[in-house]
Amino acid sequence: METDVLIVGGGPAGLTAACRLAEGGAKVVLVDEGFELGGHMHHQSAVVRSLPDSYETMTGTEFIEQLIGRVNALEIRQLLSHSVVGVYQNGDLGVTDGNRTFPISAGQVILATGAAEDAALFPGWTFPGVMTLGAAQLLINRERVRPGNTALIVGLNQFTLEVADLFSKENVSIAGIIEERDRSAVPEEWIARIHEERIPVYFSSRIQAVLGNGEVEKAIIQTSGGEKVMEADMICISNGMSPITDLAELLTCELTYNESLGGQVPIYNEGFETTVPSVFVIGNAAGVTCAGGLLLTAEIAANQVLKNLSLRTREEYLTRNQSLWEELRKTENQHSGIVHEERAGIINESVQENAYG
Amino acid sequence: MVSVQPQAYVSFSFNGTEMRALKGQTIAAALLANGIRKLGVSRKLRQPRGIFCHTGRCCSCFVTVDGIDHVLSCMKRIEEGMKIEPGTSDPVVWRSGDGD
Ligand code: FES
Repeated sequence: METDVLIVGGGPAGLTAACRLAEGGAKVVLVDEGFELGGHMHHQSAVVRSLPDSYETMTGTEFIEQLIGRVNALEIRQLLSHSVVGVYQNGDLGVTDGNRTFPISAGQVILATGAAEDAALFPGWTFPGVMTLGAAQLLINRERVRPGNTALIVGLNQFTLEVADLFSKENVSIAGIIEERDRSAVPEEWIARIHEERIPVYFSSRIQAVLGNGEVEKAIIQTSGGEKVMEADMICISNGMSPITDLAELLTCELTYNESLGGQVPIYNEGFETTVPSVFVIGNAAGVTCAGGLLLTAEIAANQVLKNLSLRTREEYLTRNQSLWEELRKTENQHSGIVHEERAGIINESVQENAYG
Repeated sequence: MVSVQPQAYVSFSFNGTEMRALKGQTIAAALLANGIRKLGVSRKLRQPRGIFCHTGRCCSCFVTVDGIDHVLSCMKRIEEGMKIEPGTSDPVVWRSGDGD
């Protein structure tokens, strides 16, 4: 199979890039591991915060359905339930559906592989009933299954607040939220919201062990007031996210470590091109960011790719690139004081890399 | 397309027991809806494993589907007549001397 652009990952970033590129006249192949497009955001029943100003208020599901509609209306080759598993000697990517593996020859590759939720380690963390908070959310919203009756949530953050709302709607009771940090390190606004829902929060606490006969039945919590045994049939881990970099590594893109961007991130330049020419990285895979950041990084890379394919003049490219970066700066800074600054650091690294390399 | 259809059912079996799930559910979710949380055991220490990430990354949810082992049950939809067995294969790696 041959294409101008191969996009790996059909979440908000990958879909946005796919639309922009196909609309611009590029031939696009979109690969996703899942059996449907949309990524994590597809099943978020909560309103998406931090969309760029031009968007109206909508839920993750509404937003993604709209994007999928756009993709379906365009001539984009979609390979669902397919993953990229290797690189052939001539540079073609090896793509498989689990039975058959075949090469795709692409002039430009965009990695939109997203981010994965981080685990939290304690004795018993692998027991059935311990899962990421995102898994619990997906089971409810997409799979229509209650993941358990009583949950203990590890970690208090924005995502915890969002899913706590969902749990209460679905009559999943929350025995408590276990937070490692001291109370003073957690925003008052979050604490107030959790209080409203009458959910106990244990600050400066952690799970010492999860117990049960082959699956979760209770947990021992180490709190500031001593040990406490709590009954729960589900432990949900809300411990932040890290960019998924497997494929970037496979393609020999250089990575750097950046705490604020979620951990290991490929190094990229102002067009989100990695240290491997014609390989781009966008969305959460380029550093965990807000919803607006996912879309704008995709737009910036798409602009660059269209220029590479001579589908956009240098002038068009320059004007658009400048306004997109301005918007990205605004959007990301509204959401977090640090993400955008750290991004600039990554781009600096790429410049130095070029100077010496 | 909405993935899970609330009124359409699919029959399948787990370990020989007949079960029913909503059409469009993943194998992992179909089993969970039937009260099955333990999907298999770990390769070496034979410890119980179940859904962890439900996004195809953690490999904690392996089952055998119609004789094919190591299928990620969170990444595949249940189909009419599927015969599911828990992920207990890979005996070559486990030796009695490895403990439990
Ligand atoms: S639950 Fe993690 S791969 Fe299936």
